[in-house]
Amino acid sequence: MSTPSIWTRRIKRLRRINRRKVAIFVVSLFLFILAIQLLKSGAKVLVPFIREGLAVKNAWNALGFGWLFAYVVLSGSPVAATALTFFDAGAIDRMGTFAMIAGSRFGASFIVLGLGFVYAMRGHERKVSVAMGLLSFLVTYTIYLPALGVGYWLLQSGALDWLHPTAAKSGLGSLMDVVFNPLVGGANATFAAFLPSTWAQMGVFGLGFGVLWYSLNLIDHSLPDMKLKESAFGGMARLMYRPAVTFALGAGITSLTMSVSVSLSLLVPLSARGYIRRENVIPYIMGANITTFVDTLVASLVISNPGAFVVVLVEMVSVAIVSLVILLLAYRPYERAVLRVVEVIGESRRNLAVFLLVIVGIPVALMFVR
Amino acid sequence: MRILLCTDGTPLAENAVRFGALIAQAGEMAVTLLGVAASPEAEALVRASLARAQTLFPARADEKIRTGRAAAEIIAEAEGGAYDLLVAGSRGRRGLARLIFGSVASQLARYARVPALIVKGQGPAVRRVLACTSGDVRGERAARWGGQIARWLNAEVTVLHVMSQMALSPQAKLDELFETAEQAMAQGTREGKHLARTLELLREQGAAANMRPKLRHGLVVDEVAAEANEGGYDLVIIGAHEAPEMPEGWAWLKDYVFDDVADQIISAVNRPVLVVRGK
Repeated sequence: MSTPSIWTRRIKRLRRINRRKVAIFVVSLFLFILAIQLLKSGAKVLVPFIREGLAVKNAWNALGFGWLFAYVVLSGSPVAATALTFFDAGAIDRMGTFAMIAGSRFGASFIVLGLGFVYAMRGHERKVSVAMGLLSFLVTYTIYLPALGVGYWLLQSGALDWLHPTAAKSGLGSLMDVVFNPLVGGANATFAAFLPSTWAQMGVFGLGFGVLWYSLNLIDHSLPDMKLKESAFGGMARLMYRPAVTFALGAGITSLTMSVSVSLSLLVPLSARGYIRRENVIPYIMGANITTFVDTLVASLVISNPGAFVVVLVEMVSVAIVSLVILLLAYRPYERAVLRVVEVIGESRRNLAVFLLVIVGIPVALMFVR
Repeated sequence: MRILLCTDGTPLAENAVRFGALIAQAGEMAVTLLGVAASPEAEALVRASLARAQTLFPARADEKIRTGRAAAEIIAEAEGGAYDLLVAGSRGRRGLARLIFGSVASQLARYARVPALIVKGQGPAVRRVLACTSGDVRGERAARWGGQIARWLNAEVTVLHVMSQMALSPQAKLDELFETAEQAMAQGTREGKHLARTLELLREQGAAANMRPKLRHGLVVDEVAAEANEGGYDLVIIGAHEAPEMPEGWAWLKDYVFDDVADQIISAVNRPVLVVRGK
């Protein structure tokens, strides 16, 4: 008698899936692919502008550019996807693409910190308001910095280049050409009707970026309302003593949400008072920082450029390697050190101001490295 | 109440037996001395240790000898004999040595279903007890033991709760994240109510009037270790949860996933630690 009841429960669960959300997801995915195609189409004309106008000539410049770009758009994913289209257009090389994507994560990690600043300015206790943002920021920085070295080695040695055929065989390219070429052609023709050739292509690129930004926001809205407290995760408190478990949870949830800040916000219902244990949050962010590249990986498949796919994969693998080394060999000292730095930065307005100057100054300085 | 005092003949184990004897006599507990020999050749050493242990008690205590792996034998005896408390020493292995050779104390703290008192560092006087509470039923169990031991030995008790939380959302009640125990109790926050309830439990157990609540903020293990060292406590009591039953063959997963901070606290604190485990 137990079988029918199991099936009844499953059917009820399926019925609970919000059809509206499914529709939003399908639309956002369509727009995401369209956006990448538009960016790809418009990027070629930007090559001289990126190389000469913005002077993005080496990996350091690309790192700074991706970093500052993410500050401006308050998001990392559109910048990472844009980096792939620049690579496809030949504006930046593999190392530059890798660095620009890493820079996008540096810039994106500012979002949570920015929210903390807003609350601190509204009169909340400074040290507590900015702690979460600083932590998210520092965990990202301390993982990605060594990951840049690992990634450099992986790219130079070509250790993951054997994955080219896998990407090439994905078959997505030809299918998307059929569906999206007419739309991209239409956009090109429309802009060309009103603007000179170069400006028309820039317009297509701008449109692509706008659609990409919108589609990523739309994907966030298409996520099911995950009530972790009421789900199987309700008992997580007992599991979350182990950093590796929380790490896997962060990676798993972010592979669905594709955004570290969205993943973090999903944890809010776990605590009625909006708290999270210090012990849990660091490995969670570490895990989230790896799978946040899922949308960039999809973008690389949409572009149908095997090199781009490998670059994103190198990004994920290098971040994963550094995270696992820290988790397995030096987690407790790392945890203490990061929390100590968070405390010191949040201690005074002066420290916070110096920190802000540094995180704005470094990417600007990177743009001038020759 | 019944207490199991374990020795393998080493000075550290005998130090643990002395510490256990102090509690056994204060609590008028029925004592069983368990000698565990790693091999039949080591039995003579263990028997000599048991003979020395007998001198600690006015009346002859029960004696048992087992041969085999220390942790497994102690747990088997503890579970078969309906004991209320087991006492064993710790070599204090840390880092790589702990990883390679393991730790009997760690296994006892993790797998024994009866409260396990792991003796490290000095002894055998108990003037100050630190009862650490996690803010739930485990903390209350730890407090009950703290209250009992404090009553038996007329010791001071500090009830410690560590808030390791940080604000995740703008709606978080930020003020609670840096308040003292007194402020938390006055404002009736969750931590404050829990501390008040725990102090009430201590009174119910007949603990001396000299008890105080304390709230610290930071990483749980680090703050417990800091308080234990700074406050000069003679005994640290912690509550720990019992891992759920798992199917045969999945014990490794249970060991890995359902860990808690008990083992880390034992490793970090150079004081006797009583782990009160239960579902």
